[in-house]
Amino acid sequence: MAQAFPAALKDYKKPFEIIGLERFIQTGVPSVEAFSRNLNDSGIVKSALHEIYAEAEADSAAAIGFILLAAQMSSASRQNMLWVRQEQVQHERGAIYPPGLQHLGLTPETIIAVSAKDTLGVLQAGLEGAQCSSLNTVIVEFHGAAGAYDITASRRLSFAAKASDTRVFVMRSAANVVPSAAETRWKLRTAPSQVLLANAPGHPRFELTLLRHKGGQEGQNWTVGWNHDSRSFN
Amino acid sequence: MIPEVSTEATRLKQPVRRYQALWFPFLAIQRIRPAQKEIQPDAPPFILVGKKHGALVITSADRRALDLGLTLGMPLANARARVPLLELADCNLKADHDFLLRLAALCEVFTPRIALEPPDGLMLDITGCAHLFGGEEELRLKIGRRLSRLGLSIRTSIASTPDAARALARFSKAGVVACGTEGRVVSTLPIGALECASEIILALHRAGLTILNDLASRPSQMLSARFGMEVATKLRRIMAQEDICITPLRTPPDFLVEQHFPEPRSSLENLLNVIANLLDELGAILENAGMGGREFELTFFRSDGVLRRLKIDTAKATRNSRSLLRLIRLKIETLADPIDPGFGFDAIRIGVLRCEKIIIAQRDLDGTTPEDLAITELVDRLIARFGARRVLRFTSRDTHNPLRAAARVPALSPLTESNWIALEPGEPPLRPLTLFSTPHPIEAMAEVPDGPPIRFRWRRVLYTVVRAEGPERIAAEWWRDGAMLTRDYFRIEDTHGHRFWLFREGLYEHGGKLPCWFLHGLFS
Repeated sequence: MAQAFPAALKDYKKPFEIIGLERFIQTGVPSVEAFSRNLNDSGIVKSALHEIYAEAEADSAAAIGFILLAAQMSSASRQNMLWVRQEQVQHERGAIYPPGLQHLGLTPETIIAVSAKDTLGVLQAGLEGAQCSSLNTVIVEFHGAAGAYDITASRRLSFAAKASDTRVFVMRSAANVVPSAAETRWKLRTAPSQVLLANAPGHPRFELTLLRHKGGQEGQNWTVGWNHDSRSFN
Repeated sequence: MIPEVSTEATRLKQPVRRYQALWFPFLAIQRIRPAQKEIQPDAPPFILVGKKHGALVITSADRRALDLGLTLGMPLANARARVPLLELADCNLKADHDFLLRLAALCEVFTPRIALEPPDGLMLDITGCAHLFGGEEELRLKIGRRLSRLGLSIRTSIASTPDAARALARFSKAGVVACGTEGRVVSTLPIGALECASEIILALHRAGLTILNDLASRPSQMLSARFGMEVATKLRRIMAQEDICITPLRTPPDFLVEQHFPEPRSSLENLLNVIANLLDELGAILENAGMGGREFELTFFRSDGVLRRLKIDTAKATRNSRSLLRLIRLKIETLADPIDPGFGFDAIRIGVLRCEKIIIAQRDLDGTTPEDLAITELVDRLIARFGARRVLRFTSRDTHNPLRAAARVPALSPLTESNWIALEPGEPPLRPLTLFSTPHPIEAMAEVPDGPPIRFRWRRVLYTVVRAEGPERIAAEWWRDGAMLTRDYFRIEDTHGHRFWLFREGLYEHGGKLPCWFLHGLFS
């Protein structure tokens, strides 16, 4: 832990001009292969803190869905998941509905759901989870401006996640992007699904923008869907 | 002479138990006006009045009022005629009962087995407790002192059956009556000590029987033939020939460790050290028994008689003192109203309210904690911080009604086998990710009566439907909630790709009322 701190700090203070240069070099539409590679190499599969911002409140369910799908891409044998929500989130976007989780490919029994009264409680529970090395994923869900989630809090989460080899996803909606120690930061909105027979809605699709990436690949856009059978994005 | 009837049959098989009866003759009065605050000798008598058959009658009176000839149950008008200058207050039975409960809690530092004897008494089962306080007489005096500090008049006595102890406390000045001698001591008590109905007492008096010995020296068949079974039974119990064990107010814990302090302690750190030692002790006891606790209760006895209880649940039976101490620390840190040490604590007790057998699992060779153990410890910590109501797991229910298909259960409860309805290969998710507990009413416009809406407004935003699937008709479970109408559910996607779960409640052909549209859930 003592060594992780300066390293992370160095990463955090990466010179901005280099990042800008990389963004400039990357042109054209990045392929889905690049996206998957990105996910697997240094992205969302990594045990670290990841942030997902829903572009609008209506996209929040999609953002949760994306997190849940990304959570299944881990190779770890650990199954359990901690899902922390603020109490008021339930009124905004409804309560977690286990059959829906099951239809996304998860096992609802493996989820421990915590509802906290305030953002501080959410963070405390999230940190408890991040410190537990037997969890596959920790999901922390905020709505609106979460004052307690500042750079210190995010750094704590990030270190805990790395120390215990757990992925922590912070999902935010109706909030401005604030600086944090996250490994990756994504902005997400829903995309029209591939139409099925008789004009039925198909598998979920997302439009993603990588806002921040410690490997320096930010600024890329992807539109990806989920393949339920192969458990991967395509 | 003690009657020979069926004494052998009712003789106790277990070792003799010892009971201490507490009687507060002026409980209601002294709740309002404690004895220390006794005012000048010429102050007016103080009585409490309550309504009975539409008239105000005296429900309790202080010693001065009783000396002036006022009696309980006397109408207030009569009392005023006798003693013009009276101070009175309304009686409050609920407050009296609560006060008695508080006194019972206060006595818990002496024994865990306490029963109420409403309206104004307590019964303590002190079997095996007296030697901790220097003998029965010492214990009796100690309890007396502790309670008279609250300004209560108190009469106590100790005997081998609850009834004997009660009769002695209320009708004699005897303190501790040694085991086996109750019969002799009790036989001098008046008949009233039977506490039977007043007409029976009157009948006994008319028969010339005035003290219990008069009854005891007669065959009990005769008594029960003439005065009813009650008299004979009650007499047997008072004479300590039959022990009906008390039902304690709170079930005593299965395992219990406690520490009394010679003088009150108030530093929390200090107390936590004591708790750590107690937990080690408790762990050793549990280990010997091969058990682990699921529910622990910490009781802090404050020197002024206030009790503070903390409860800790664990997801799995445990006796690990370190993790328990961590949970206790967490619990104390997150208390909404912190523990107030006041003038310090007299004693600390840790009880195991629920325990289970522990099957010891072998640890991995590399010494790492098994995965499920780490999870249960995490759940314990979360519960200690947020409460069991906020830490949940999901299980399925066997029903077609989507509202009831899933249940949220406390994460502590044992996992049951779940059977979720599996999705066909290639199918997109048919159930939403989140569900509103009460469906949101929306304004919707449908092209055809039975079809999906083409446009709808939710939270003041207009959504245009481009894809839809449905209807999926879900009828109410008529055997459960007859009021729910049939619902036609649709999976809807708008122009931007937002996916919703809508339903139309009711059917068009039923009556003239138009069906309403609701938004029930959100898809990812």
